[in-house]
Amino acid sequence: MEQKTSLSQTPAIQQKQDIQQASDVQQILDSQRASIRRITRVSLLAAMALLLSYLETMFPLPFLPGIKLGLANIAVLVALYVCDTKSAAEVALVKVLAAGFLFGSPMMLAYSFAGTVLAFFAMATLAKVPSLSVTFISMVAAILHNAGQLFIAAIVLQTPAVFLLNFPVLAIAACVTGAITGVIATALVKEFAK
Amino acid sequence: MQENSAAHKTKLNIILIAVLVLVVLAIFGVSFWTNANKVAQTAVVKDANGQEYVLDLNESQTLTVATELGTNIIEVDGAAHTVRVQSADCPHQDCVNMGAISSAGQQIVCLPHRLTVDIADAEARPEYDVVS
Repeated sequence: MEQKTSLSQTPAIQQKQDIQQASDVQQILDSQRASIRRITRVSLLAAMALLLSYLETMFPLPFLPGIKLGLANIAVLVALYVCDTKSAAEVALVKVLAAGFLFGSPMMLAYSFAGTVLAFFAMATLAKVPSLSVTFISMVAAILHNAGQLFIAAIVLQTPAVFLLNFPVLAIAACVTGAITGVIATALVKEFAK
Repeated sequence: MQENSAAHKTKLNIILIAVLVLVVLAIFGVSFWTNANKVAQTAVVKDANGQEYVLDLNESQTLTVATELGTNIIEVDGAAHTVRVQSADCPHQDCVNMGAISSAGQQIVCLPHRLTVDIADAEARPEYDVVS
């Protein structure tokens, strides 16, 4: 009799353990899947940022020397909305370092690093504010990117006029370029969310 | 209700963008107005080593500025009262593509060579007289 009960209990316990194990496995799989998805997306967006940086170096805007659309920032914005702040920071870092070393010079890297850091903190902060549009955030980021670059340029050239004379013009340009990249990023965020 | 909040969101963002653009235009306006009252007869060239050259805008001339970072050739057109970077051995040629400048407050920058060309009055900035 005793043997019977113990026998009948064992499979029940076994089953319970199996279920527990299965759900553990499921959890591990889910978290792995999430991290794989994140890595895939970051890689994809980093590659996109790099390609866009390259395109902009190869084909600068005609008639507007020194002004860039800032297409690579589209990838950072998408990462910020589709993934999270950490992923977006990784994309931004790849954008600055890889693009700087591949298509620029160490000095140019310092300028764009300052611009990107300033723009990134603004974007990461503003993206947490509900109901702000991607386009508005992109415009603010573009203006700050120029401000950061000019600030470093003014320090390196030891001429405050570099900032004071160029910022007003570049801020207007940034409103336009930021709006263009913002609209593209909005469309891409919608596409990713599907 | 949801449509209403979406409409509100759009409206809010249009207002925010309008304010941003207005602020930027105001900054531009102030900067433009500040420089519009200035009249300058000289171009001030500053190179990577802090060396300054003052060029009379009424006199056609070229100046070759060579530093360890590279060379820029600056050309003044006395008749047109303009100055430009005629040629440079920098990678992006932004300074050359900037073209000619003529009014006070305008500036050409060659970032890789750390060179600036300003339209500024030498008299208003006496420190340049020592160099010239």
